[in-house]
Formats: sequence, C-alpha cells, structure tokens
Amino acid sequence: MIWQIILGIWMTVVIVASFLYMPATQGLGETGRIIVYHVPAAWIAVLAYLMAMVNAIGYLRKKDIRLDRQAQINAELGTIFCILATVTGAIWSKGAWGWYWNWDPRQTSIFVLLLIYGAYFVLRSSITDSDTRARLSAVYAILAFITVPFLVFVIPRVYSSLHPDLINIPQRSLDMDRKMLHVFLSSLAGFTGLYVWMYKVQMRLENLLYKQAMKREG
Amino acid sequence: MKRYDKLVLLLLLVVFGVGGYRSISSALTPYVTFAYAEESSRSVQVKGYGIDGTIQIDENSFSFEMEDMDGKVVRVFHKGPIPQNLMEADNIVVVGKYADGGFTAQRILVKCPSKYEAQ
Repeated sequence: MIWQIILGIWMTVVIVASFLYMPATQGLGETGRIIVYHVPAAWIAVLAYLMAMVNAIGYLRKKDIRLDRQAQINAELGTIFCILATVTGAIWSKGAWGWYWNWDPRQTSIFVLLLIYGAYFVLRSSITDSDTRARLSAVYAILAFITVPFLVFVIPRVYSSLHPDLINIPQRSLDMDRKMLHVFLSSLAGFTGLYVWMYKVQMRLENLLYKQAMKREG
Repeated sequence: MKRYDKLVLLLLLVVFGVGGYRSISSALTPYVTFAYAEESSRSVQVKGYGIDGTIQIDENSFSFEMEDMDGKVVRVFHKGPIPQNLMEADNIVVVGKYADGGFTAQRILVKCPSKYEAQ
C-alpha cells in the first residue's frame, strides 16, 4: 500500500512540476512540456513489449501457462502506452508543426507498430484452446518484437523526418536544461513505477479469473 | 525433416522481409522534391526551407520562395495568414499541388529549431 501512495504523490509532483517548475522550451514554447508525458509513454511501450517477448520465450521453454498470461498483460500495457505516445505525439505535432497527422515516418512507423500488436490480440481471441493459443501467440510476440527496434529507433533516423532525436548520438549526450532534466527523469521513473503497478494489478486479476474458471470446470 | 522446416521458415522470413521492406519504404518517404511534385497530379508534401526576404503579401494570401531538398527553388502560394517562424524554421513542409510553375500549398508545416533549453 505504501508504494502506491508514494507513486501517487510522485506522479502528482511530476505533473505539477511539468507546468510550474519546468521552464518553457526554446522554439517550442509551452508545447515543449508535453515531452514529460510523450517520451516516457513511448519508453514504457518499448519496455512492456520487450517484457512480452521475454515472457513468450519463457513460455516456449517451460510451457507454464502463467507466462502466457504475463505476456498478454505486457502486450496490453505496451499497447496502451503506445497509444498514449501516439496521441500525445499528434497533439504535440499540432502544437509544434501545425498539423495533427501528416504521415511523417515517425507517425507511420508507430502506426504500423500498433497494427502489429493489434494483430496479436486478434490472434489470441481467434484461438479457443488455451495451449495452442499460448504457443502460437508466444511465437507471434517474439516475431512482433523483432520489428520494434526498427520501427522505433532505426526508421525515423534513416528516413527524413520532422521528429527530433532527443539523444544526440554523435555527442553521446542528452542536451537538456537542468530543471527540465529533473522533471523528465522523474517522469520516466514515475511512469516505470506506474507500469509495474498496473502490471501487478492486472496479474492479480488474471490469476483470480483463472482460478475461478478452474473451479467452474472441475 | 527438421532442417528442411527451418530452411523453409528462413526463406519465408526473407521473402516477407524484403516484400515488407519494399512496400513500407515508399510509405516512409512522404516528403518529396519539387521535381517529383511537378510529375505528380496528387497532393504531395515537399520538404525544404523558406528563402528570407521573398515573402509577398496579397489581400488574404501570400507567397514565398522555397528551396527543396535538391536545392530547387519554387514560389509557394498559400491562402491564409503567414505561419509563425516561417523563415526561422529548420524545415518547412508544404502540402499541396504543383501547377503552372508554382506550388499551391493547402497547408504549411513549420518545424522550428527546438532545444531543450529554457526560453
């Protein structure tokens, strides 16, 4: 319980600080504040998809149905945060470039990513036998994650995009105002905590539903 | 048999990979040059930057010269107010059609130089 309270206070402070403590950004002005939500959402999407793949590999090795549920929850959370990154990105695009959506390579690639994981849920819901479902969706989750590094990191850098790179690769540095960096890093930590908490809640729920279903059957 | 399965799987992956890459590649290049826009009858997005001191203002429209990624300069016409920082932008994207030596932009996207520094 104590962790949830700390997390609640932490996120509240981050939200307040993103408006009051953090300065407006050069060039972007007030719209620059959305970086505190946009980038961490994208980061959690990648992290959750990665975990879904790790769970999927685990399932194929051990055939433990719990791992299948973990992979499913991670794919769901990844998709929620991926949608959040897309929506905040579109809002930011409107603020910074003047248009919500213009099929910039960055926008196209995240859209493709959502389609790929959308198909994962379609696959899951189309198979009734739980072992077959677990096996096939585990293979799909692994294949799906192979595209993530390309769609998230490679394509927007190779193709001409309006999207900026936060990390300056040649200089190996993060060019950011100190106050902004405080809020930004706190938000990354807060989002990660939020993800872990959401994962645990979902896992508890899924385990209860599973137990209930087992009872009904036998 | 198992070896053969793996080979088929690998072949399928390569075929799908190459096919997927080819089809996605054109979807990932939304920004074209004026030369391409001249050929196309569809609405396209041209990326480049505005040339300082070329803005001409009419009653409720304006025009300016823009240099695309290949260095070709074309006059761009747009109905509506001049976007902020049009000339200071790193990049601008004009969306519209090329006709009669000029480009009519329905929309202008402006990408300002952004630095995560305080204003």
